[in-house]
Amino acid sequence: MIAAAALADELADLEAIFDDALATVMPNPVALRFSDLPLDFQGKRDLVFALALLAEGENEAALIAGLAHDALVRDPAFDVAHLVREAWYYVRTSIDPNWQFDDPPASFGPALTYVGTLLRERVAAATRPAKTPSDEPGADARRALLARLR
Amino acid sequence: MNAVTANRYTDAWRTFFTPLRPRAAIVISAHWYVGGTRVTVQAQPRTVHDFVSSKGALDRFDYPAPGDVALAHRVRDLLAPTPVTLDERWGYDHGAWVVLAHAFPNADVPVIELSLDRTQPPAFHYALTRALDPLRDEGVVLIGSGNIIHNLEIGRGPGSDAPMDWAPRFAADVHRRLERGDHAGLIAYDRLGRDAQLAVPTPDHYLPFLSILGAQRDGERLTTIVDGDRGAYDLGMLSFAIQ
Repeated sequence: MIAAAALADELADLEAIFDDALATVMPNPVALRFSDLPLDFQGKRDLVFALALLAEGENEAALIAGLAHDALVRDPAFDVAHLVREAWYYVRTSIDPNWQFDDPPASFGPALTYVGTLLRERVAAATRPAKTPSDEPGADARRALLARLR
Repeated sequence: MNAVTANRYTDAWRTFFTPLRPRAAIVISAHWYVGGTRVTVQAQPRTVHDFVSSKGALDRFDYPAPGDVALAHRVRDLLAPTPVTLDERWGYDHGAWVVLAHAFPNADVPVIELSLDRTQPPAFHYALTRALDPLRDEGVVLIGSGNIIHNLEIGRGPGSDAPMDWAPRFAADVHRRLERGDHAGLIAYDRLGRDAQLAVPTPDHYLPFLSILGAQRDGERLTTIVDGDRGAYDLGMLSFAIQ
């Protein structure tokens, strides 16, 4: 069973990375503090997605984990297994569309850590003076990263 | 492109719906898949273009059917104690208007949309529409818009030319289960093996099917409007009716 508190900690870590990403990448001439804006997690997701810092599947995983957290807050016994499976599907097919099956049990923790890692890497790459194609690791490297986080 | 072109699927939808004159329609679309149960409540919903823009005919498409505010409130009341949000922001997404454009081409049937709650398991969606049963005697038609087979990811990556023989196998399995009324098996689709996992990798496009199945009354017949047999393909187009 997944505890809302544990998921909340993982989401808080990811949300901090979202805030850092927006603060670093968004043109911000009036120095808005994104963490103080009335943006919920969904709003930050939309911005990060629009800035092409996360792909659709990576973004979906973060959204689903947020929904699972909300459901667990309302009812700690709520079964979120279907949400974990869906989030994990989106993460692995964002690496390789043909990665359709995955037998070991999925979990939110590695998926969210993976998304946060990608986001940090992409923000760093976006703020480097000259970007090169090699900035973005290939599918094999991504798959290995997700396996390590598991 | 089903909205702006005619094909054997859209022709079948049109033929099926033409003799029906419902007072209103409730659409459950794969593309309103959100964290709760919501129902559109505007007098005049907007047409939502919820897809990557192609700058073509689909972007300009407008479906101007009125909403039905009273019906939205009635749905909320019937679904109690499930909390239902009356939604003034959403409208007709492309899952809805692709079908509505052929079902009611004059846009003269009021329509509301009922969302899919992505936090809820399949059994919830099957059970929810049962509570709307009284509306069927009041001339309200329920329309589910999704796909029993929908895996667009698998057609994108390396090796995507591999035969999708799992698609017709799963379609046949669904047909068999429908014929013998095996709703429990269809609800627990995630336990139907790898064909089902490939056909239904995420729940969104499958759940409207369960929503409509859940509305079936004892003794009601299920008829095929158009078979979805497209062979080994990543998108199924089966359409059926319960009357």
